[in-house]
Order: sequence, then structure tokens, then C-alpha cells
Amino acid sequence: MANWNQSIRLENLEQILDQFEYQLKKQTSLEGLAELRREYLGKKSEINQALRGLGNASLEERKSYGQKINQIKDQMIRLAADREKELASQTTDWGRLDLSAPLGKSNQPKARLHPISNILLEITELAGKLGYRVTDGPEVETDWYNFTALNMDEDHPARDGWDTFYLDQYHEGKQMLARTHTSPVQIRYLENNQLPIKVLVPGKVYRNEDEDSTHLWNFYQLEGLVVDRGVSMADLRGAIQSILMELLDDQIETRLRPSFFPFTEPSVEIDVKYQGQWLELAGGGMVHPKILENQGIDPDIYQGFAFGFGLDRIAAVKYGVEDVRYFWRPDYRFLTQRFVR
Amino acid sequence: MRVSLAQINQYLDKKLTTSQLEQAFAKTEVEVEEIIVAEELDVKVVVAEIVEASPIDGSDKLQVCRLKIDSDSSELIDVVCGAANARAGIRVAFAQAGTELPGGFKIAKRKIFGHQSNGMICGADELGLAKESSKIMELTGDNLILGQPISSILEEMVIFDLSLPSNRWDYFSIIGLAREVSVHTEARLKLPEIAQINPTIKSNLIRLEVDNQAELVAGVVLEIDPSIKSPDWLIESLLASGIRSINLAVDISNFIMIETGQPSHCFDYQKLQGQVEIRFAKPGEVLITLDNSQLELGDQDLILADQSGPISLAGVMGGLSSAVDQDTTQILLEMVSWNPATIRRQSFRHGLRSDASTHFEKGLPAELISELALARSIQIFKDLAQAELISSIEFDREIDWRAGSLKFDLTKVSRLLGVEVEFAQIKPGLEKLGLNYLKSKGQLEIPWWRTDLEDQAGLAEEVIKLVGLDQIPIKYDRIVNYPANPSSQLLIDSLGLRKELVARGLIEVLNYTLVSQLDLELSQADATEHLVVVNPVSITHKYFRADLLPGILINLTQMIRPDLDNQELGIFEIGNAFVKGQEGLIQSSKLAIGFSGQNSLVRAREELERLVANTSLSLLTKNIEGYQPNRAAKVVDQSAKNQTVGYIGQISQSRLEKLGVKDQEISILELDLGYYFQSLERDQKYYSPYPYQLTKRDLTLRIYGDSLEFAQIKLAIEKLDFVVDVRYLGDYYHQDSRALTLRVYLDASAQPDREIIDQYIDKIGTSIWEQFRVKIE
Repeated sequence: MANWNQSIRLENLEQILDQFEYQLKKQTSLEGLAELRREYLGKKSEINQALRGLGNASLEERKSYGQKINQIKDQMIRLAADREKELASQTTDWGRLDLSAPLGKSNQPKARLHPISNILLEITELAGKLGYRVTDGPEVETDWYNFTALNMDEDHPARDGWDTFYLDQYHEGKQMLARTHTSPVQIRYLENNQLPIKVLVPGKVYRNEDEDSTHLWNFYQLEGLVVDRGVSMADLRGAIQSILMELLDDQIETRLRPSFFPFTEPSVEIDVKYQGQWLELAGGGMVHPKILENQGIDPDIYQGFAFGFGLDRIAAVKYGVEDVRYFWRPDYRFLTQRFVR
Repeated sequence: MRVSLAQINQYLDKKLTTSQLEQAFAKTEVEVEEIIVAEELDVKVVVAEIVEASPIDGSDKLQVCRLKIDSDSSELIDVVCGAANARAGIRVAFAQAGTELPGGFKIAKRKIFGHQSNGMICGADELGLAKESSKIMELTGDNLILGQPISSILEEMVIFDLSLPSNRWDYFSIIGLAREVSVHTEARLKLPEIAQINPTIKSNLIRLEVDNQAELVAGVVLEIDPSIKSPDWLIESLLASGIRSINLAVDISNFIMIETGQPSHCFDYQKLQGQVEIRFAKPGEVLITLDNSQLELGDQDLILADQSGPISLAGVMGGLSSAVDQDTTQILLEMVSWNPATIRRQSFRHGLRSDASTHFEKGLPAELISELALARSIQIFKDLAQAELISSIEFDREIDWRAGSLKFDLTKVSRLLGVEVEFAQIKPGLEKLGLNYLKSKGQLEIPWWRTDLEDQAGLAEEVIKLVGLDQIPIKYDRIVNYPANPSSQLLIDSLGLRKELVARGLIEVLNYTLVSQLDLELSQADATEHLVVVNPVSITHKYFRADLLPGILINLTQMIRPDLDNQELGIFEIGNAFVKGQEGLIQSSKLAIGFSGQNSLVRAREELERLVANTSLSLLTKNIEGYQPNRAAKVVDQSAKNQTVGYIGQISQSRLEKLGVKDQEISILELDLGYYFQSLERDQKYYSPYPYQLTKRDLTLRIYGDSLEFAQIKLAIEKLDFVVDVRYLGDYYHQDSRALTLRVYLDASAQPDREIIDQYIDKIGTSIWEQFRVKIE
């Protein structure tokens, strides 16, 4: 007989171990497993031959190699046993289960974001993409920020365009009010920040008017303000177009119509064609030069645009909600549906 | 404002159709709210002339009218008619037999009082043009053809209901609208021929006694024939604008207002006592207005007065005592350019918003009187009322019209618009507007009727309207390279929190900010005083909410429905709440969460724990009105002297019953988000993984009295540096004490031996004994 370590080497045995493990995994029946056992662990298997071959080795070799070979053999036995358990359990039948049924507590509350929150989150995300900051301002405003600073002094008839809730709180002798639009934040932001400015302002606003399916006396508005050198109405149109593309879809078209707001000049109404229909959705214009001048900004050097629109209206259009009051009168069925972004 | 197509067409050299006018308005800031079209009329309703009208015996009203509907034929058609104004020589709308009128009324031949009637002569109501009319419609106009279907004439009676911008007083006049319309059509503005007037500078008729209240006061006395009635065209023209006819003098005054934009007032000159003066009222003075209401005047009210006292609230409404009536033969025509702010204030103060005051509050230039309205007014008085001037035309000052001008730099304007505009493109339009370019000065001449134009931006607006807004290209966003102007972190954080709470299984709700007194009673906020809306839509929405709890509570009671089997709900709202604090108004952003169903309080407490874990926010059990006894707590900031930042608790059964809820548990919690996010940021620590296994020990403490709570003990124990965590295991309440069991997690390094652990437990024991006089059992 040849010297044992010429025919059998430890590396070979480790390869045999790997091979055995691989074969075990491939084996899917208990019969096949028995076959493998015979091949790898039977009398004529290489591992047993190696053990028998040790008889010819020296005492020291027998000690060190014998231990290692036995370790490998033990491991093979264990692997085979594990696989046997696994195969055995897979064949145990636990009985029928109807996975088409929800199986848990079927009436668990279906948690959802409010559709307006969906829109607000989209706004913060698109702001990041388009390079806007996002901010807000107080809902209870002074007469000065809500009107006067926006080019509507106390006796300006344009004030009639905003039906206002007045409050029993005074600021510098003037009655405070529930802000009628997010535009006061234009002034607040201009006061506190450096040029250039690019900001979006979502927030709750109030109108003292009768409610119906398209009018609410409190609702969310989005204001946009951009002030920089060389800003034009083309930028305004692009800004509105890109924001509404993010909020509604890429297929929208915009159409501008002349309009009047005391705080922008020129002023425009922006109609949006969405799913084949023209909708009056937004208003805007170039920031009135007086407003820039009041903030110490030279309108010959810096120009700006501002725009605003109702987020409840956007949500209503986007989700086909026929009555905007649904947003504000919590109802289980309405609020637990998924409002897809 | 309402205006008919015919009215506009009257001031244009080419007649527009309804759709041409609509398209022209679309190019301006005039918004067409509604186009009111007469119902499509049967073509059998035609223009006819009454040739003869003879009364029927035995009837005091009916006449037999003989009509001609073809000028080339001598055939006459007999029709019985009961209208008082039916008479020979007028042209009328005749519905021939077989006609179907609006509303489905069919006209047939029939016998009336023994006379054959072959159709009907129509009133405006029968043609669907007016609600009520006792007269037949008299058709006027030079180009009426007998037999022509009325429907072809009526197109001009289409009425446009317009929404107009408040900065353009001139849009509130037909001439102003026609001028703007002409710019966007082929037509040119056609102003009526007006004879010049020669005013005298004096104040014999009306004396202005106050400063800064009028830019021009004009007056003239006219003698009129009181027997002349308003012609139909005048009545119809006023009706188209929604103004009813009163008498000829008042109708002329109103007509001038809608035609030119300038209101005026007619006093019965013979009813006046002495000279008229313009002054502020004296407290206690009273004016009985034209509509017979009594105004108590104050010293802020600008009035016209004679010797007898107030005769008109300036710019708003005249007085009854000097009103023109059917016997008036002399009128004082007053036309003033009032201070707009004064008129607006006094119309609001007295709750009287008249057509005149809405014109005046926009600010009318003195030139409107001197260049147009007064001359036009006198001319119409002469034409229609056979008026004669019996005084000189008085102006209180010289009005010297000089056009203003503004620098006009088309390059800059183009840049602002984002559109390259050539001057040739806009020149014709500018000229139609009266904005002539003064090339040598690089300026545009600004006529008196364009008081709104003040700067380049205003001119840019005119230019873009001429070019068309569809010319503005879409320029997509460029990311401005800007300095770090901040975003609102609170806004962004609270949006993130919404997502987190939804992921936890909570449904988001939104509530109105304005609430009722009853809602406020459910509130827990420490409001010194609530913020009140002084002009609420209804008493159920009179107050600003002081916190979100009432909303959440009521939402739950309404969202739970036995028919839906949804008793176990979790909802939340994030929004602002308002209180009047000692230092003024405070707006704070809040989160409220509500749970219904079994173990609602445990679920609320778990949710709160998840939110406040690893912050210095903690809880203090406290009995709170409206909550079950021993089932409510304040959320406090331990690092800020236990400042209250929220509440948690189970709503008491009695309160739920008041809300109509039975056999239901509801627990709610509220957090001030400003504080919450602050504490998250301040208290958040980031740890490495534990290098060694922790050692756990369970400790039971015997606590007497009920002032000491788990949170305080946990805080104290966790201050020891070898303590990693303290968890609540359970309680056993005895008569006089409580056995509280905790589990402490100790970091005893690589080789935790018994001795060290025992030392640690001793240290814990010493620490809580020293602080709370509580022993480990």
C-alpha cells in the first residue's frame, strides 16, 4: 500500500466536505439523501478510506491527522442530519390556508395621510428639487402685513376682494385679523432674508364667506416668491408650470390671462389644462416695484415674481373630490382611502 | 358691473358680436362672470309698425291695433292689445299666429271682445327680456326693417356681467370699457360729440369749507320741464346696468355715471335753503336719506348742507328733503371729485354702499368732470329734458389739463416680460389707449383717464396685454445660487412627523381652526383669554381654537360608527392653536392624537413613549377636569423646570355621555411641537453599540404617598453612569403604599462579578434613599 498521505491529503478532504454540503442542498428527497450518505460516509467513501489509511502512518501523524479527519467526518454527519430534518419538516402538511383572506384583524384602521398633507409633502420635496426654501408665517396677522404692506392702504377698495375675519386682538392700535392669504409672508421673508430669494410658503388662510362645494372659510394656500436679477414673466410662467407638473402631471399646459392684484404688476391669472379641461388655478405676477422699494431693493436691478394658489383646490382636482368640505369634516371612509401621490 | 353689447357698440365705430366682445375682454383684466343671453326667439316674432289703434267699445283698456309687417305691402293685420302705451306710429315686437314664445306659450288666432286677433304684441317679459312689464316693448333705432325677426336685433341686448379690477375707475364706465375693447378689436372708440362748456371760477352755489376733501367742486342750476318722462332707450340702458328708472333728472344723472364713470347729484333747487356748503357734520346732526332711513351723523362725516342742515352724505347718498320729484322745475346739478378714502370710510361707517360711493372710492380725477362728464350731462339735460341753464357753470378752481408722462424704456420692459417686443407691434394699441409716445423724450404721454399708470411695471402690463400673454415663453427653473436663507424647520419636521404617525397606524385628520364656545370648554389650554372673531360666519365658529383636543375628541365620536365596526381607531392632527397670553398672542404648532376602543389609554401612553423616548420630556400624573380620575397626566420638560408641554388622559365617562357617546373609551394626548422638536434636538444623543453584555436586576421599591412617580425615579437612577436603562415592570398597590418593581440594566464591563453588581445595586439604593427616602425591598 502506498504511503497514506500520498493518496489522501487534507485539502482533498476539505473539498469533499464542500462538495457534500453542496450536494446536500441540491438534494430534495429523503431517498436521495440516503444515497448521498452511502456515497460520502459509507465504508468505501473516501473519508473512511482515509481513516483506514492512517494505520500506516506514524504515531504523531496519526494523532494530528486523525483528529482533523474525524472533525471533518463529524461535520459531514451533522450536515446530513440537519438536511434530513429540513427535508422532513417540508413534507409535513399543516392543512389548508386561504391566503386570499387578509388573515389578521380585518377591520384594523387603515392609516393614511390626509390628502392635503400629501400635497404639502410633495411641496417640500419639489422645493428641494427646484431649489426653493420652504417657510411659513403666522395665521393671525396684523392689518399692516395682510394689506397695507401689500399696497392696500386702509382705504384701498381692493381690500374688498378679501373677506376678512377680524379679531378682538389689537396690534399697534389696529385690529388683528385671520390672514386672508399667504402673501404677508412675502413681506416677512423679504424683511428677514438676503437676496436672492426663492421660497415657497404653504399655509392655512381664512376667508369670511359662505361655504359651498368649492369655497371654504379656511383652506391651504401656496405662495411662491422669487427675487433676483433679471427675473422675468417667463420665469414666473416656468415656475408655475414646473410646480404644477410636479403636483399634477407632466402633461399640463398653462395659459395666462391679464389680472389685477395690488401687490403685483403686471398681474396674471394662470389657467391650467389638466386632463383635457382648462381650470382657473392660480394667480401671480411680477412683484410690484413699490413693494421692492419699501424693502430697500432697487427694482431697476432686482425683479421678482410671486404667485399663489389654493392647495385644497389642487387636491380636489387631483383626487377628483367633488366637495372641498370633505377635507375638513373628518370621515372614516373618506380619510382611510389611499390618496396616491 | 353689468353692461350690454349694445351699450358698448354705441361707443365703437364698428359693431361687435357677442363673441368678439367676449374675446376682447379675455385680453384684458376684465373678467366676464356671466353672459346673459335672451332666450332664442322664434323667428315669427318680427318688427311691426302700429298704423292705427282704435279702442274697443265696452273695454277701458283694449284696442284694436292694425299692424304693418311689410313696407312694400299695404296689408294690415289686426291684433287686440291691452297695453296702455300701444299707439299709432310706434314700432313693436309682433308675435304672429303660430309663434311659440319663451316658456312654451303658443300664439294662435282668436276672437277677443268680438274682434279677430291675429297674434300678440309683446312686452319685454313675454320675450324673456324682463321679469315683469305692463307695457309693450317699443323698438327704437334707425335701421329697423319691418318684418325683420326680433332675434336678429336682440343680439345686442346680450348682457355681460363683469368683474372689474379696483385700480381702474375707468373700467366702471362704458366709455372706459369701450376704449379698452377697441384696443383688442378692429373697432375704434367713438365718443359722443360734446359741446364745450365755459365754467366760471366761483362758489356761489356750493362752497367747499374743508381742505383735502375734493379736487374739484362743480355746480350748475338747470331749469327742466317736469312733465317729460325718461325715454325708453334711457330706461333700458339703465336696466341693462341694473339700475331702475326714477325720474328723468335722476335717470340722466345715473346714465352719466354708467357712461362716463362720474356720479353726480341733483337737488331740487327750490327746496334748498340758502347756499350749499361742504363741511363735516356736527355731532347730533341727522340726515334722512333718499331711501328714507335716518342717519345719525358724526364729526367724521363729510356732508353737503344748507341752512336747514345736512342735505346729502357726500359721495354716498342724497337727502330726502331736497330730492327731485315730479314737480321739480329747477335742479342744482352737483358734481365733485371727492377724496376716495373719505367716501369709502363713510359708506362703510353707515353701512351704505351706493353705486356712487363705489365709483368715488376708486379715486376719480378732476378732469373727468372738466373734460367730459359735466358737459355731457348738461348736453343730455338739454336734449332730453329741454333744460336751460339758469346759472353759470361754477368750478371752485381752475382745472388745467396737462397730460402726465412716464419714462418708457422698451428694452427694460421686454426684459421684465421675458418677451422681445418691437415698438411697431404695440404702437397702434398704445395710441388707441391714448398713450402717445414722445420720441424725443423717450416718454409715454399719460392721459387723465389713466390715473392707475404710475411706473414702468404698469406700462409693462399695458405692453403685454397688447402683445398677448400667450407670447410669454415658459422658462424653466434655474436653481438660484443663493445664500443660506433658512427654511422653517418646524414646518418640515412636522411634515416628517405626519408620515411617521401614519406609519404607526394613525389616520390623519384636519379640523377647522375656528370653533364654538362649547368646543373651548373641552380644551385644556391655559388661555388667559381666548381669541375671538368679531365678525364670525356663525357662532359655532366664533373662537380660535386654543388647542387641538376638542377637535380630535369630536372627530373620534363622529368617526366611530357601529355600522362600520371600527371602534378601535387611532387618529391625529397637526396644526396651529392660539391663545392670548400675558405677553400677547401666541400661535403654537401642536400634535394631538386620539385613540378609541379597548386599552385606549395604554395605546396612547405607548405612542407618547415612542415620541418622547430619549428626551427630557416626562409625565406627571395629575387629576384633570374632564378626564377619568387618576387617568390623566401632564407632559413636562424635566430640563425646563417641569414646564408643561402637553397632556395625556382618558376622557371621563360623564364627558363622553355629554357628547352622546356610550360604552366607549377615548384617550387623547397633545404635544406642543415647538417644544417637542426642540427637546429632540437638544436631548438627542447617539450611542455606539454596547461592547459588553448588560446585567439585569429587578428591584422592588416600597413607596409611601402618591407624589413620587416612576418617571422621577427612572431619571434619578439613570443619572448613575453604570445604569444603561430603567424599565417599568409592575406595581402592587397596598393600603398605604405601593410596591413598584423596576428592572435596571447595568453596564458592568467585561467581567461582571457579583461583588461589583452588588456594589452597583447598593449605590442605586443609596441614591434613591437620599433623594426620595425610598428603600429597595
